[in-house]
Amino acid sequence: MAETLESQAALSTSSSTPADKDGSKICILLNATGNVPIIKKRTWTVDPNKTVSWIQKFIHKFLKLDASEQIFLYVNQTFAPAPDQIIKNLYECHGTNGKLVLYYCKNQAWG
Amino acid sequence: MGDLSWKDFLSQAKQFLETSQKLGDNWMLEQKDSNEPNTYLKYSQKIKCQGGKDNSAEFVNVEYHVVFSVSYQVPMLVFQAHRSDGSLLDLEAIWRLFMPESKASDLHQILTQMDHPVLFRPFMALHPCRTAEVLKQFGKPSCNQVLTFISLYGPHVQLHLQNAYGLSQDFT
Repeated sequence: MAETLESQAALSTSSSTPADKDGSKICILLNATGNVPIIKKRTWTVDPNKTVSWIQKFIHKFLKLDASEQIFLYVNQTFAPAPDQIIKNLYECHGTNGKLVLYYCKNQAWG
Repeated sequence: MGDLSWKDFLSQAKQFLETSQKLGDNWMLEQKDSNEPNTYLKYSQKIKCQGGKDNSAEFVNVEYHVVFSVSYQVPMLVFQAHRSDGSLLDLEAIWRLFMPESKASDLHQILTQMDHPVLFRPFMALHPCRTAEVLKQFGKPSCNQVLTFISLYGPHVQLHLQNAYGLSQDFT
């Protein structure tokens, strides 16, 4: 499952071919916090039009988490962007030194 | 960490309000009196809703309150939604509007009607029992947990904050 996701995913190594028209993928840095497993590869490049929830789903699948657990994504230690927000907008607002630093953690949200 | 005291809630709610005023998006602070927990943040917006009587689109006015839960010591999101003719949306309609994909058995653990802690009227409420746990997962304790809370839980009920809220965290 994870493999198929990765092959069709736009999250890929920086050296991948720029398939999209503008060729400008955004570089993101993923940091684990709390009790969530780390992902060894921290730097990823992402299609600027992907949404925050898409990245959440990607991490969820990548870490093979239980369905009841949810990935939370946030910037600046404080702010969790809306799930339908696209990475491009987020980068324009919160990107530093050509990178968008994202933190993620997991928890059960309800119940 | 993760839970917060009433005093913290109050000062962070005021910080949040300052940010909102800078960004100009009309959050308000309602104060019934100075006792705990009688101050809350308020915001209202119109949402387009597919599912009027003959499945036509209609606009629903939603009023959100961010109140302090004394029992859980965390912020809590409650809200009320009414149609343009003034009728209130009942719980089923709310579930259909905000959480069409969730199973009914789960919904009872997510969103139900509860007493508003300040107004003592029934309001729709997002359950606060995991909030402290979720807030605790945020690396360093967030410098404004009220903001963190709203940005985390708001999107479940179509309450979105501008990205710029994440920037104004230089208050210490």
